[in-house]
Amino acid sequence: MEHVCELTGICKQYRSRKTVHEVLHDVSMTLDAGEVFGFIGPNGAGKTTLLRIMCGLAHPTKGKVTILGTDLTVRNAQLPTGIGVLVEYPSFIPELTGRRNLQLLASIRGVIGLPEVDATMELMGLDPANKTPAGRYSLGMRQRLGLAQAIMEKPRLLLLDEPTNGLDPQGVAELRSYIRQLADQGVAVFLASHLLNEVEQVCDRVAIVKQGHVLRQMSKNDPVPYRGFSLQVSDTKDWSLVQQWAAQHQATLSQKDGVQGRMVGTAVPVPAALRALVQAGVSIESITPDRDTLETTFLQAIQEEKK
Amino acid sequence: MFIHVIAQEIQRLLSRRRFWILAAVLAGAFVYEIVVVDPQLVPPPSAPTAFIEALKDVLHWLFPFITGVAVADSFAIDRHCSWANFVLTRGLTRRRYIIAKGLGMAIAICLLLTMSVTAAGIAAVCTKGLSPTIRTAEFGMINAADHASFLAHPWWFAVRFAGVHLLAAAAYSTTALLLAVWVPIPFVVSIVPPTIFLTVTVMLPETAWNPLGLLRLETGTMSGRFLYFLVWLVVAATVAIIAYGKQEDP
Repeated sequence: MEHVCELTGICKQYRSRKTVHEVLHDVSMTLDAGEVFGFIGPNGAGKTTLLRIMCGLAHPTKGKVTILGTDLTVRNAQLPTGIGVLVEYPSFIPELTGRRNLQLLASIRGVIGLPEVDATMELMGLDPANKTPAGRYSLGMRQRLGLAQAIMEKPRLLLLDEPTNGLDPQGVAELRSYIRQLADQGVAVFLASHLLNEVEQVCDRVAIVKQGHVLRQMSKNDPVPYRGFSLQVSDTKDWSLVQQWAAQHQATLSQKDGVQGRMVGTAVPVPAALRALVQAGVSIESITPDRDTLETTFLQAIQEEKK
Repeated sequence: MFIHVIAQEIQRLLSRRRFWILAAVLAGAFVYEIVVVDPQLVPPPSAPTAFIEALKDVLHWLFPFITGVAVADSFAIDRHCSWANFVLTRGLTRRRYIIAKGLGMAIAICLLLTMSVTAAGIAAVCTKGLSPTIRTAEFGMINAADHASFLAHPWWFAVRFAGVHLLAAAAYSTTALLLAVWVPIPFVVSIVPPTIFLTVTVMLPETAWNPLGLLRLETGTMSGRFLYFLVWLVVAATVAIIAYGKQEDP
């Protein structure tokens, strides 16, 4: 099957007279229809540069970029239709209304008309009848308008750079759900962000990047290693029973404030541990398996890279 | 797609309040020149002569600044907003984008000038009458061929004279556009080139080899003027398109 997007060995260098600054180093990835790919990293990691390369706004120093079957690295390559892009901090012609801005953009390709523009604005929580010039929009409204311009022409590939910038919590939740809907309809979504929670909730696959190097790529379907569990007991007396159980199973127990702690280094699954502890007379308030979150994986990858 | 981007550029410039302020300033300068300054001349000039003289006196120094400001403003919007990115990610190549943008900009600036020049024409007609008698001595400090053409059809000559200035505006704006490729500071783009141009105009002696001599009807001809700006426009536009096409970030 042909990938919607395929990057092979992408390097990007900026040269000044004396120095060469490498922004991306040997980045390779694929993105398929219906998939949401998260590209996460700290500020200055090269996320925006990669996104700009993917939509033809910048050219890689080395490597190959194939988008919807078109090799963008060949000379005079024409960007294929079917791409929607949201660049970081989108802003529009300040004197025109949001609707007029979108209408002008829609007229470039001419594949949609005003009814579709209005429908997309409403979908993004904007009022098409609002006569306020785009220059007076709040950050959140500008972001919504930016998202509207990216999705209004029903793209097959959607490239989003920090899409939740300036959105309120409700807007973030709506956007997350909308991205999933698009993916379910077969749209491939590339999401560059530094917000781990946002990426974790919506992405099928994730790449962690730092200073232009991809440190790790992982999938939602990858097996998650089991490390132990966290638990809270009702009383400090119960804690001694927990300690006994830990000693019997060669597990390491760390204690917080007398009634809470973490049990690591045990292979005993949570249901079995719960049964055994209850039978031992421990009164348990809560028990949660400890699994790697994107945050722990991210921090671990960054730490390993530092070493 | 290309036509739409040209239309957008025109609309974008026309949507700027400062664009209309510039048009008003220019029209005001013309009308002032015709209504207030010309009556002091003895004998008073006819309407077409007053119109041409106003264009000669005002446009020479105001043109480069107006076109510089318009181009710098257009680039300021580009840098301030993500419009170029929105357009480029809709499949237009950077080179075609700059051609469309340059054309749109030139058309918008010519519209601005046409509005101002029309105001000057109306002011001339209102104050001097539509069909005054043209004296042979009028507008005499020009070469013989152009003078004969002027005396035969004074308004037609005036319109052609204004047309050459529109070409000049396109050449000035293309130069400013070229400069904007390398200098991302609108103020510099709008102020430096006209200042250099005016300094050169004032400082260089009017010799036969000085191309600026072409700009004066006394020493050059109308067609020489036309060719001068045409060559300037073609060279500046070519360099701007090539240079801009190689850029990654507008």
